[in-house]
Amino acid sequence: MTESDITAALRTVLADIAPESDLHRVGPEENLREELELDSMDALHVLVGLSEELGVEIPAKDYGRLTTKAAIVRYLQERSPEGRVEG
Amino acid sequence: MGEFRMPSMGADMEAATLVEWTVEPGDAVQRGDIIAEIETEKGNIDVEVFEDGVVDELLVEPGEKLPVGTVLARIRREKDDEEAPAEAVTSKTEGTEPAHAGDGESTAPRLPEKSPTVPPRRHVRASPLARRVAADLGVDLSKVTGSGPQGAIQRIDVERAAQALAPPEMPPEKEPPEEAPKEESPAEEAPTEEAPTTEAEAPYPERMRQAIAKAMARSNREIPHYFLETPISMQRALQWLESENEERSVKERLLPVVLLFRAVIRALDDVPALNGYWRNDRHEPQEAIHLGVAISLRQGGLVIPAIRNADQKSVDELMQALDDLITRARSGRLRSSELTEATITVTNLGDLGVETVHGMIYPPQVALVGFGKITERPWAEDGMLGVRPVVTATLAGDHRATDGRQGAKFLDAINEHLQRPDEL
Repeated sequence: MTESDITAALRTVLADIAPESDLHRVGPEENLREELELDSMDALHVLVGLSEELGVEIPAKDYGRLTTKAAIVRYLQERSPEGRVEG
Repeated sequence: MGEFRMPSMGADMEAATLVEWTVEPGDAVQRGDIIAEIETEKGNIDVEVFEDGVVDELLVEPGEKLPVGTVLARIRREKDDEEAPAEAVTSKTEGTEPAHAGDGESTAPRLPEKSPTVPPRRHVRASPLARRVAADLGVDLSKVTGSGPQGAIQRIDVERAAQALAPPEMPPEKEPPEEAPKEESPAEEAPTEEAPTTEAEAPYPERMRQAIAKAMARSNREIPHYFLETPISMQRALQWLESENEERSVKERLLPVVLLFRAVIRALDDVPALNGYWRNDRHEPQEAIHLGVAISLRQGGLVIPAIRNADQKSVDELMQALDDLITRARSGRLRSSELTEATITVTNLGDLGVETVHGMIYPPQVALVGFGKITERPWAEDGMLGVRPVVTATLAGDHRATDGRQGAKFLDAINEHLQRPDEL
């Protein structure tokens, strides 16, 4: 799974949840929730959506770590089986 | 014969525009069915009917802006046609307990099938508008997943299903209006061709601002607020939540806010005086708890729809209800009962980062509960200093209705309940 796979999935998911949000304008290390004004329900939907889009299970205990684009990319790459192309 | 009037969607609403009827004369309706769509400062709202019956006459045309209380339609109670007295209807709706509104399936079998004007209802839960749109678009309702209350199928669900079925140029024989299909595909039978939604869309944020201004100015003018606050350790609640979520599939996971809501509901059991209204110089505590939830909208402003009969919902059901409410609040698909019946409001502004929120009560309610952000803070307990996740709970109370003593007891009860999360 490449970084652009993950970013694309994130964009797809956000299009549903916060249609007006512009992912480009959020830096890789910036807090996504704060920058995009996502409340806790939105944030949950983002993670659920990512998990569905990419077919990667995200345990609830890890939610707290997934606060930035970079963290999400790193995390999902670690979690996804090597050689996986798409979910 | 029942009169269906323009409902008030809150203290700040004086008039609204009828956008469309979703029924026509002769249609059978059940309490809780959506029969019209109106446009208010809070967005477009699906208006529910209060009683079972048959639509006798529609008295106003879409597009008209009408004051609250205007008679819009006449509903013939089914009992009018038979020998039973009208009380039969009211006895089901007595008091403040509208538990079954919108709950057609469980309380449904009241429509006499023999009535000649009543088309037999299929066993699919769907709003009348959804049924009509489905008929227009050739969508099989039994194959549509509903997103409404109790899985009821709504127009949006039908439209989504239709989009999934057909390429964009789908409506077969009628001219689609130029705007996006999501907004309005006016029913063919609509009395006028003009769907007045588009022009009204423009000044919307301003009008919502004005509605909020009116309600909050009234609150500040009329309600002698008192404010209380207390920090609450969320350690036990969050630990419980974490282990609970471990067991759950991604889609069934719970958010801390739901535990906060549950604690509020339980605390209202302990201090019922805070649940209700101040009307006509009198305190009117309410039995049913319709939990108003302040939801901020991305385009600005906020709405406070209610999770109806929240006291009868489990933690899981509350989570679902909240999710559904937020989604519909943001897409402008709230139902009238949700905007009129809140008996107390909770604001969870902590979600957006602040530690403490001192709110204004939404009249005619008598209390508003605020939760700040859950943050790690130093916490002394049993002679030890440690670090705990802590939330600041606040109460704005109406001093006409209750005193600080009750308020204090209430906040303390919230704390107590959050220390026993498995009992929530």
